[in-house]
Amino acid sequence: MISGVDQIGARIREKRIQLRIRQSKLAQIVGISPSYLNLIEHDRRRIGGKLLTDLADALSLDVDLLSEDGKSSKVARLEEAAHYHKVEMQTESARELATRFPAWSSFLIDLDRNVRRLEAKIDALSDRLSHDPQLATSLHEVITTVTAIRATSSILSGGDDIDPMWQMRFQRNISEDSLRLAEEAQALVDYLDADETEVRTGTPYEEVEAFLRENDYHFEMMEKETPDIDDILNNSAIRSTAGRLLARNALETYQADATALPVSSLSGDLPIQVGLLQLAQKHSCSIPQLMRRLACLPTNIVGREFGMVSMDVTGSILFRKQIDGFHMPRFGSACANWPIFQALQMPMRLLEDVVIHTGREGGTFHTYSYCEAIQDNIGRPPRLVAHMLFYPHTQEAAQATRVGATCRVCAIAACPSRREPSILGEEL
Amino acid sequence: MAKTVLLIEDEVNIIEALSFILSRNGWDVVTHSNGHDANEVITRREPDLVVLDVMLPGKSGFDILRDLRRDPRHQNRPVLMLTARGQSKDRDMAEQLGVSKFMTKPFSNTEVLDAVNELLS
Repeated sequence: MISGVDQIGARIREKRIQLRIRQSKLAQIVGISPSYLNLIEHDRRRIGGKLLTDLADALSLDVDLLSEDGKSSKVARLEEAAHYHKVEMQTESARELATRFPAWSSFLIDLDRNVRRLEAKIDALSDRLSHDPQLATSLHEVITTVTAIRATSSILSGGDDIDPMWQMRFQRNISEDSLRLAEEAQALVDYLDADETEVRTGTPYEEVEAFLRENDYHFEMMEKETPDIDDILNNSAIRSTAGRLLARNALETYQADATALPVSSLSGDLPIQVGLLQLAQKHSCSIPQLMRRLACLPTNIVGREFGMVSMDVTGSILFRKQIDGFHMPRFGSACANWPIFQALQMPMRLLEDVVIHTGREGGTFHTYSYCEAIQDNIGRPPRLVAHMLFYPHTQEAAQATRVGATCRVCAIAACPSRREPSILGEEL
Repeated sequence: MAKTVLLIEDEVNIIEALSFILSRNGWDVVTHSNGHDANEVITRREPDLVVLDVMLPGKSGFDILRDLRRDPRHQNRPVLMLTARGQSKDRDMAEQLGVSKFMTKPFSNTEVLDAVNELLS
């Protein structure tokens, strides 16, 4: 077995023996003396460049697998796939797999890529099936029409004597309903016939989120001046009136946040080292304002990548910035164990928690949650909007809450907060 | 005297099919196709059974059921609820509101007849 990342010679020797090529023959093929190849095979000579490429070609090996500078991209991808699927695999095992079975390795890597793509699609479609109002309406119409056809056809095929007038009436109803069903089914197919890899932006919120994501949630032009928001919107892909309205609100909030908390005022505190509360007090800004700034400013400025979610008292997600490992549903019905829901019960209190997201590629996250009470009208109860800012937690977490994205795609087996069964069979 | 079934449903062809099979099985069938005045119709007609769709124009079947159960005259009136939404949360909500029986579309005529028989027996 090959051992050690710097034992190129041993790998060459093993492969040569495996292919039953004599040392002198291989030396001749690559144009060196057998004694020099012998030194190489015993790692007493370092090689690189053209000789390395020639040896790799002669042995039908990926040149990366022979290089000295650590793992090949294929080995790294195999390790990544193993980690993702919770398979114990040492680097040397991955290297051996890639060396001995290059075609199988490529197949595994492709398979892993496909699995992840399909899982992302399942998550997105699951969200859509649960919460997309247009899809829900369309499905409701299809089921209603199917019910009418089933009930009517059962009467006609029941074998009982039916008045000819009723027979004609039911036949006409079935004919009408079947036409309607065909149209509804076609409309449904058209609606679901989205791009192979991407679930298209359907609702105004999705349009706005795609727009924010394309801009990495950061609008440099708003950091120092006040541009015309209409110009920004006209240059965006947002077409729906509702989408433009929501995007305008988001940009106006961004502008207000950037004015209240310019990067220059924050620069002395970046990368963020202190607690959120102290920082908000120091800059005399609101906690949600500081959260949004940290979530929207580029990582190279704030020092780490922040994710954020904001929701109203109904649990509807108003803003969402995802980061790797913390999957969130596109619409409502988020995991009830998220600390943001505790914040909703305790307005104006900043909560700090550590959570473990149990989804695939999940991780441990440090979270700050805060619920603001916005007084729109005097004499009426304030409107509650909660926010949760989070980032990967790199230290030991003795007591962390286990959370998921949403029940439908969460496999925490014994969760007291579960609202509906998961489509996943077992705990990930 | 035949018992009366009030069918509250907005899909015309479902109304026709269900009215036909219920009438053929000996019940008097009265139909109504919107939600906003459904509670008044129930109070006026005093049916022995209400067959109630969930998705109705004007007022949802859940709201109609909620108002019905708050009214002492209708607290025990049998209600068979029909819905195209088979999610467990809908069933849970219907049960919390006091539904007598809950059926998911598409149902068979036999299932409807069995349910009506059970509720009127």
